Parts: sequence; C-alpha cells; structure tokens
Amino acid sequence: MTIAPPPVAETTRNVAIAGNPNCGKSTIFNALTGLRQKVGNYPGVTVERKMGRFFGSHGEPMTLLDLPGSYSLQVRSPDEAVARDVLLGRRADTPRPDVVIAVVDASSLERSLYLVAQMLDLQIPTIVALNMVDVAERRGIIINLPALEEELGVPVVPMVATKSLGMVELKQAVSRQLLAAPKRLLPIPEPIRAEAESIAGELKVSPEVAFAEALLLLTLHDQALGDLAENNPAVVESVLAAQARLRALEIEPLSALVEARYEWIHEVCSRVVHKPGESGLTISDRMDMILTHRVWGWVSFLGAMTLMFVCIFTLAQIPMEWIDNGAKWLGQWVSTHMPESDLRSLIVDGAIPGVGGVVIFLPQILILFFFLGILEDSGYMARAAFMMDRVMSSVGLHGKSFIPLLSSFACAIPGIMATRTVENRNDRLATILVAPLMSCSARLPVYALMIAVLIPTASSFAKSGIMLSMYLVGIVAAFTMAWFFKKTLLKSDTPMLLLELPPYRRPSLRGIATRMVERAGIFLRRAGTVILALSILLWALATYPKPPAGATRAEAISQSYAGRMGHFIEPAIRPLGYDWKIGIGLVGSFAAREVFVGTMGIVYNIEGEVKDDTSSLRDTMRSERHPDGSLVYTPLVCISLMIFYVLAMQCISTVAVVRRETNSWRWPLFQIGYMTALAWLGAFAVFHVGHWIGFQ
Amino acid sequence: MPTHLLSALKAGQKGKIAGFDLPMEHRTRLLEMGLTKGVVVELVRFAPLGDPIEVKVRGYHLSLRKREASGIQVTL
Amino acid sequence: MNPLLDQLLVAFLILCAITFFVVRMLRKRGKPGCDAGCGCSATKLGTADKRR
Repeated sequence: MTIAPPPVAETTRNVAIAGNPNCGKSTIFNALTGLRQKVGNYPGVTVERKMGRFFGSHGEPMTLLDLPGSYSLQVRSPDEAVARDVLLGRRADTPRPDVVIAVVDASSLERSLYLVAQMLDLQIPTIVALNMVDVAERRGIIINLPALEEELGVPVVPMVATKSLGMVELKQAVSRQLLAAPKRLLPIPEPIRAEAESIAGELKVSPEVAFAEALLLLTLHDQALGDLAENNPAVVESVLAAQARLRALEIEPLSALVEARYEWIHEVCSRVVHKPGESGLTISDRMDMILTHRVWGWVSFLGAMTLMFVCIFTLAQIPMEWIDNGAKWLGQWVSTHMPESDLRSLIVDGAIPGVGGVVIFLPQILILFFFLGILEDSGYMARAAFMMDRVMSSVGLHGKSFIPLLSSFACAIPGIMATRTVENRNDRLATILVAPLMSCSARLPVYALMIAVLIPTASSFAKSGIMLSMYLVGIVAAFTMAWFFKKTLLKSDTPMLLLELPPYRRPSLRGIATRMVERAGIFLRRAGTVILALSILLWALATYPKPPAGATRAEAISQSYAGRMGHFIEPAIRPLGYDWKIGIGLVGSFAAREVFVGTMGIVYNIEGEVKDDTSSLRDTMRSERHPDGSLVYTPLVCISLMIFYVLAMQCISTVAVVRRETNSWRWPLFQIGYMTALAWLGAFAVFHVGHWIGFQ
Repeated sequence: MPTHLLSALKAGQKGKIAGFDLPMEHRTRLLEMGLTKGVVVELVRFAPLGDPIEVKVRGYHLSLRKREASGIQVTL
Repeated sequence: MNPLLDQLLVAFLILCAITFFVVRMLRKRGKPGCDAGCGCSATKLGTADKRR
C-alpha cells in the first residue's frame, strides 16, 4: 500500500535515521516511535519504507524515516538508490529530511564513521548517536566526546539504546530549534573537488545538494552510470569525462575518495579515541573459538537446532492441551445450548475445529520464534552464515542468502523480502525460488499432527527426530534446487561475500518477548479472520449440497462440493497413498498450509467420526479406515504426506509476495509448478519405495 | 618488501595492506569496509569448511572469501 | 430455532466469508507492503536481515 507521508505541517520536522547494520538503529527507531510505525512501500518501487511518528522534547510532532542499514551510500541495489534519493530530496513522495540521526557503533568507531563521513557531505543537519558505549567501555575504549564533536562538526549523543540510555538527550538534540548544516571538515583531494564543482553546476538541483550529488556521481561505477544514462545522458557524459580526466592524473575516483575519507577518520580517531593497546581476547572472541571451531562449531550448531526442536515438542505440550480442552469445551457448550441446526453445525463442526485446530499450535510457533529471536539477537546468525557460506557458494549462492533462508523457517515471506540485500539478480531469484522449501512455521501443525498420528506414544526425542528430519529434507531440497537453478536457468558469477561478524550480544529478552507477543497477535488475527473464513467456506463445501434423505454421513460428505473436489483429484493423489478426504485437505491447504489440520478436523467432525467428545483428531485419524477396511493413515502415508508438505507450494500469501518482489507472474507460477511437481514426485517416491522395501 | 596474499596467511598472523589485485567494483567494496592501503589486517581464522576467512580490521570482524582475500596483498 | 432464520444466518456467514476473501484479493492488488495483514506469522525476524 502506498502510504502518503504524514501531512507536513510547518512544524512537523522530518527526521531520518541511518547507520550500519547491527549498530542498534532499529532499537532506537522502535524506542522513539513505539507502536506508531507504518511499513509500506515507496510508490512505484518494491522498496520498503518504514516510517514512524514521535514527539520531540517539547511535544512537537516529528516523523522518523528508517533508512536501510548500509555501510556506505554507494548505490548497489534499489534499496540504496531510494535511500540516496530521499537524502538528496529527489523523491516527490518523501520530503528531504530536516535532520539525520547517524547511528554509530562505539565499539567499531572507525568503520562506522565512514557512512557518517558520506552523510556529512550531504549537508543535512546531522546528529551522531554514539550507540553501544557500554560495550566500548567494557573493552577499555575511551572516547573523548567533546573532541569528537569538534572533529566531526556535529553534536554527538552517547547512548546505550537497549537500556534506553541517552534517548532523552537524543530527543533534545533532534528537537533543537536551530540546526546547522555540518561544516565541511573532511578534506577532499583538490582535483576531485574541482571536478565535482563543475558537475554540480550542471545539475538542476539546489546548490546545497548539488555538490553532494556530484561527489556521489563521480564515484559511481560504469554499470550504475549506465542505468542513469537513460534519464540524464548529458550529466553522465560529463561524469565519465571527469572520471577519465582524474584517471589521467593517476587518481582513481572510485577509490580515491574512499581512501581520503578513511584517512580523515583514522586521524580523527587517533585524536579522539584512547584504546589501551591490543588487549587480549574478548568474551566474544572466546565464544567464537568454540562456536566457529572446526568441530565444536558444528556440534554447537546442531545442538542448538536439536534443543530448539525438543523444546518445541516438550514445553508446548501443556499449553496445547489447555487450548485443545478449551476448544472442546466450547464445542460442547454450544451443542448443548443450541438446537440442532445448520447454524449449530457451522459453529461446532466448522468454525471451532477449523480455528481451534490451528490455534492449538500457537505455543509451538512461539517457542520457535523465541529461539530464532535469540539466535539472531545474540549475533549467532552471522556465524551460521559464516560457517555455511562454503556450502552456499558450492551451490552458487551467497553466504548471506543463508540468513533469508534461515528466516524462512519462521515464514518464507520475510525471508523472501530479506533477499533484497542480495545484489545479484539471479542469486536473488534463486534464493526466492527455494526459500519456501525451508519448512515454514505453518507446516509445523501439519508435521506435528502427522507425527502424532504416526507415533503417538513415542518419546519427545523420537518425535523431534522426525521433525528435524523433515526440516532437513526441506534444507536438502532447497540447496539441491538452488544448485540446479544456478546451473541452468539462473547462471551467474558467485557474488562477493562481505559479512560482518558483530560481537556477541546478550539478547534483549524484552525485545524478543515483544516480538513474540506481536507475532502471537498476528497469528491469532489470521486465525480469527482468514482461517475462520476458510473454515466456514470449507464447512459449507462439505455440507452442501444436502444429501437425499437416508444417506449415511459418510455418503453425505462424499457427494458434497468438497467431496466432489476431493474425488476429482483423487486419481492424481491415489498413487501417493491418499484418499479423497485427504484430497479435500490438500485443496484447502493451497490457501494456507495449516488449514490442513483444521480441514481434516472439519471433515471428520461432519462425518460424525469423532465418536466421543474427548477423542482428538489424532486418534480419529489413527482409526480412520478406507471402505475396504484398511487403515488410511498408515505410517507410510503419514510420511508421504509430510514429504508432500515439505515440498509443496501452498501459500497464497507467498505467491503474492513473490509476484511483488519479482515484478511478474512468471516466477511465482513457475515456483508453484516446480514445487507441486517436486512434492508429487517426492511423495510418490517415498510411498512406493517404502512399499517396495516392505514398509507399510 | 615482499608481499603476501592475505589468503596465504596463517591464522593469527597480521599484515598491512599493500595493494589490490581485484576488479574495481570488488576493490571499492573492500575499501568502503575499511580495508584500505596501509591498514593492519589480522587473519583470525578459517571457517570450519576452509572458506570463508574471518579477519579483524579497524577494530571489527569481517568475513570474506579466500577468492577475494587472494586479491589483497599484504606485508607482514 | 426457526428454520428460516437458521438458513439465513448460515447463508449470511458464508457470504461474509466469501466477501472477506474477495476484498482481500482486491486490496492485495494495490497493496505491496507486507504489513500485519498478509497473515504470515512473522515480521520483524525477516527485516533484521536487511543487512549487507
């Protein structure tokens, strides 16, 4: 949705916040804006725009624009192009910020200051938020704040964002009446300055912006200039000519300016920062000695994953029982208080089992997110990418693709959106195409149900083992398909890896808890809306048309619309071991995977198969038989079904996101096609190979 | 002074960057991350599978592939 | 329960469900953002990866 920027009254100050990744920018953004955030898109491009509102020290309204975290203003992706445009005031839909908060990591000051140096060029009033001073202090790094302010020429606010220290001072700094543009204290090599000034003259923008833009243009490489050439051929000509002249003087424009900035930064830091020499290993270093160790690194990685899955199975049991009992109680209550009617059936056989069957998995999903949150917040994810990069590049992907893929364990959608950081188009596409193979949280209910049907009395270890295997199947499938795509359709050079390994941080439990609550809210909202609506529709499809009098309940459902659909696809799925009722479940799942559980609940409820009110869906399924008396849910069918769900594309929301991110229908349709084929073949193979080796 | 390739260093060794042998675009990115001429780089470790490598530069840790690292010349 | 009322309520609910999806489809067309409405059970976890 394109959101209009908030109405800009005379007094609404527009603030932007920028900084390196991992520097705590998001923490500050959230702390300032709280829940008053809106995520949308910049009009016309698939670049996310995150804006929020907050109030200054005197209550004056301000807007805060979150610029994507980056190490430099150099443009290498659409995200960065938009960020630069916003900072230069080139976007009509987003006003040029009045103030910029540049967030800097005190413990890696030199590198963090590079972006700041570039921002100072832009001549926008800037406030440096020196974050993580606690970490710096612990390492013995002492920063002379007044000196730093003087050297940079802008106010510097020390902060520890995770503990909310410095927020007040930051607000004060941002709210100051008079904000001066930063003084140009960074020495720019003279030939470059001269060329930049002449180019600035050609640009049709305000003079304060022109020089900054000229500098940015001079340091653009050929490909980016080529992209610009369409709209501004004359300017691009001048830039190319200027670059040639500089090169003739043995000055390489692309690198000279970068080096000049770092030289300045280095000098500033040497005057301003006092480090007690190369002290010994930090705690973070020591941890890395184990966690990225040749042997122990893998042990800890697998150990962490196993721990996660075991917890998902054990800790969730009790809350799941509560929810299960609650749903049953509700069903019974409605049954006894309403006369028999279609409406009652809609509620008791449709809505309640449908929504209840999905909501029951909330505890498991929350535990999953808790662990992923800890892994991410603590900085471990970067190590995971570091260790996995060799594997990733062997299939032709980027180590950084691993992180979107890892997030896809929660939900493929943010994982797919996270691929925006992958610069190479083909790599990005390959990652997007395989991301849904990383078992997302919506599959969890399906796995859990099938595992329960399979081995209801087995230990949690056994159950986690099977679940872990399903996840592994997904991972292997994802990597294999990525390799295949990179070898065939999406050939390209393996991209460069430049991954920061931030120091380990104690994860903010408060932050994780907040996100968990948020996610629970989203999950329940979805259950109460989409799943509820789907349940109603499925119930209707399974109830109507009404059968002729005297029909058994099984016959009734068989001739209903849903039954007919199930029968229709039955020939296609019988080779996989499924019957038409499962077919109904599969059809419903196309919209959302977890609906499978609710659907089967509805189907068996309507059938009256749920004998007594305390028998669960699991037990029902275990005793479900074909007309010929054989068990429907044999172990082999259970596994085959799980494999199907591992590999199939069953999420309309994901399809929509892929369409949006790739700007065409070609890729999402291709994705649906290949994944369905893969799922069918996989389930087929499992089912028949299993039979063949004597499994039932 | 004899130059070595960054990728050829042993874990724990430090060097000063002397030059680059990389395509311009890659070089610029490394420069932006702080790997400029004259800066001290420490090769902290190799990843468990041998690639990528972890280096310490300008006070922070960065991982890059051996392929790129072999385009960075250092003096010990 | 009055059988007519029963049927009406059921039809009404079914209609609501259908309308819900139709509206959702239409809104999605013009709505490129993944906000809470897209229904997946994760948001922030992914945005943290918008790093280079």
